[in-house]
Amino acid sequence: MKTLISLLIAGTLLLPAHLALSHDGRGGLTLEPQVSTRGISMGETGLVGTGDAESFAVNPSCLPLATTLQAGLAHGNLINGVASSATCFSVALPFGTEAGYPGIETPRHKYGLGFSFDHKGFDLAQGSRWSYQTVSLGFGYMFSQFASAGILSKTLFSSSDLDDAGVKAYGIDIGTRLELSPRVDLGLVIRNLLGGATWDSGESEAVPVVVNLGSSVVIPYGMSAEAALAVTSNGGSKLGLGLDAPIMETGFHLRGGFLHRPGDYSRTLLTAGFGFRHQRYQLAYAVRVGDENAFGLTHHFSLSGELR
Amino acid sequence: MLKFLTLFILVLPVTVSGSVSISEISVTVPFFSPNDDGVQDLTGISFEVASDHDTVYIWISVTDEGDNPVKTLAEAEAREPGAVYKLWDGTDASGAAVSEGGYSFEIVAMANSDSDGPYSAGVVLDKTAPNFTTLIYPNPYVPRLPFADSLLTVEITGIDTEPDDWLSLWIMNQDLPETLCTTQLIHGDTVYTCTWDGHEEADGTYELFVGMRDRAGNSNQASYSVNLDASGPTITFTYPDKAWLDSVPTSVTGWVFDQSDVDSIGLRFSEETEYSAVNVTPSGDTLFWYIDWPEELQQGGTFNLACFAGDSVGYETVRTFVVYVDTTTPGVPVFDVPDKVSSADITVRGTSSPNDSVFVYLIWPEASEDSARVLCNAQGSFEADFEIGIGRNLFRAFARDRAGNESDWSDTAAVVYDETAGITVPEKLDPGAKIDVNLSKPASEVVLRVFSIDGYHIVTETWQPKDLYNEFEWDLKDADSKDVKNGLYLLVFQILFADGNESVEKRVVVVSR
Repeated sequence: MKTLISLLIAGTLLLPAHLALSHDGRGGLTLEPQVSTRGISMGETGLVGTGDAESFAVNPSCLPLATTLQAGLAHGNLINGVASSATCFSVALPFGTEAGYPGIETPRHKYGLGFSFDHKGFDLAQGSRWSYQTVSLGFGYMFSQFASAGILSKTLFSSSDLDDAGVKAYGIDIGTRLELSPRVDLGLVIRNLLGGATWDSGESEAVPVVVNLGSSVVIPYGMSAEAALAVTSNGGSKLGLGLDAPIMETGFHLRGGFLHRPGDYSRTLLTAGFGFRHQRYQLAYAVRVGDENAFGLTHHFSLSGELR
Repeated sequence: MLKFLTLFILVLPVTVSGSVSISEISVTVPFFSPNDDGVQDLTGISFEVASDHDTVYIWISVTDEGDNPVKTLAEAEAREPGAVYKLWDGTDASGAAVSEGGYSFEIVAMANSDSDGPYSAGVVLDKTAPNFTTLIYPNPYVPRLPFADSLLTVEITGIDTEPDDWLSLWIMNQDLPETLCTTQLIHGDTVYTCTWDGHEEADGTYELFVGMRDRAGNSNQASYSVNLDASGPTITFTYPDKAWLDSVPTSVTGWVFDQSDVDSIGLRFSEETEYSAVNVTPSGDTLFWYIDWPEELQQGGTFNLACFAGDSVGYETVRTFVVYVDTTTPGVPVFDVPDKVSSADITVRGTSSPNDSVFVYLIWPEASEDSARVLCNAQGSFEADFEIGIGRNLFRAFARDRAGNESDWSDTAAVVYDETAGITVPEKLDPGAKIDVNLSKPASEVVLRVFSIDGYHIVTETWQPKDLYNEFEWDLKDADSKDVKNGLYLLVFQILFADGNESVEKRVVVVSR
């Protein structure tokens, strides 16, 4: 197991470097899933999921972590100053319960299935609307209490007032989650494998591959710190760090973090938010304080819960 | 040679026995005309020689009517039995042409001691072509008369003609020959009549041909013009050469043509006046005419000119020409344009007099030499499309009526093209697409930052605006000068104004090649 973990870490570190060195043109169609509201408030982390429905699309290997059938609905704006929105509905269903692992109070599931419908819409420069929907289907498998893996299939299709500006795209994500210790989790996702996009104009091109590496560490007082690194095959990268602090045992969580985007227009965004859990339901809010010369201030909300 | 042949003839019977005979004697062209016209220039004699011998000897000669020898065509010519054919070209032994008259072919055949002949066959040498005189009436030919009297008659009187000579008449109609008569003469030197019905034919000059050919191939041909007159004279006005005039003309001129004589011509200036005689200058079938404009009509108005002409066969023609004499100056155009527009393409409107032409000039900016000529409608309104530049644009115009009178220049109309401050970006960006940046006040820099929709920085462009109205272009390349991928992009414009303020505008666009 240690050898496997070592190889994964080494590969994870080498792949972004390779991608960054030989990229083609920047930009392109994004197939990246909507980060959970909790993840946004913590510097766009959340790669090592907490088992809620909202976060499984970020790393399908987290699907077996769900305790029961869960559903989540998230909504937010994407660009300050431009009519834009992102809405995501997701469902996660764990199954194949195994006996509890030694030292784990709650029995864990061996498998998990997930579905999400992600809608993003934008007003274009002269008022036309351009939107796209991403339908994702995921499957997660837990090898042991220390390791799980998952696969996510994504299909994107757009709708627009413009002629010849539509697109269809697809891609596959594979992810893994490793429990390095009872306090440290590591997550790795490679996105958009075999991905491609076909435009109405007839042009076809590959979707940029994204490598995500993330970690979660439980620190004293019930707090947890998370980090996430993303590198794309066409030269983009970002690094996020965040902290989640429970307020006593009230069900409230305060969260904060930052997201750094290096490059020729390097910038660092502050993020913050809170979460509130009441019985089987959770409410979360996140704000991203960005550069007004880029995306600016955005707000995000979500409601999720266990359905049985 | 003769001795040799004599000896040969005398010797042959000793060695060969048998008989010889001539049959099927025929003259190929009994009447011929050796005049090198390619028709019946040669004649010939043909016959069959039969014999038991392998070789026969033939003699063929031509003699005149007094049995005098003219030419020997064959003398003891040795040949195998069979068909014999000899030509005669109408010359004697010295090669000189013989005179006209009757001639005979004399033929003899011999084989060994046997012989056959002489036989004789006559031929006529005739080099005199038949001649004729022709009378065509009526000419000019006017087929409007009653049918019985309205045929064109052609009388041909033969001279030096013989029975069996051929007579042909044909007329060229639309460049194609139309045969009127073809007949073989029964008697020599008599009168033959042929007619042509031209009722359905067009007015014009037709060429009639008469041809005659005798038995010897001599021919004669003559052509005649037939003037078929089915309409009145053709009248043309040459001055005034246009209907609308800006002054009273000094005279009216024109010409009249008719293939029959024009025997009357006159012109009147209105329906209320009588026809006046005109001055004419004949030139062939054409009469050039002119008449001075009357003193009493030296004012503007409408004149219904009418020219009358009649020809010698009774046809008449009246040609009218309406002249409008307008000596008044048209009204000055008046512009009706907005003071300010927000588009470069504008329609300049205004009013002048109905049906006038209006010449609109864009006189400012100075570099512009744009102009338009438009026609006013029945209400006197006009419209002209122009593409104007940013800022102040000035227009002037004048009007010209149909008679050619021109108005004074109009007042100058000013139109200010002022684009609304803002940024206009095509929603779908193609390579070469322009980004209009219209500033409300002077700026030192316009910075464009491009992001992919998932937040990655693509490129930053910095432009220095030269004016309030600017056109920039993003080449769709990233910071590494590589083509960006198709997708959705956020364009953030940061405008740094000269007064130290700045503003930020954002646009989302699609790049889809």
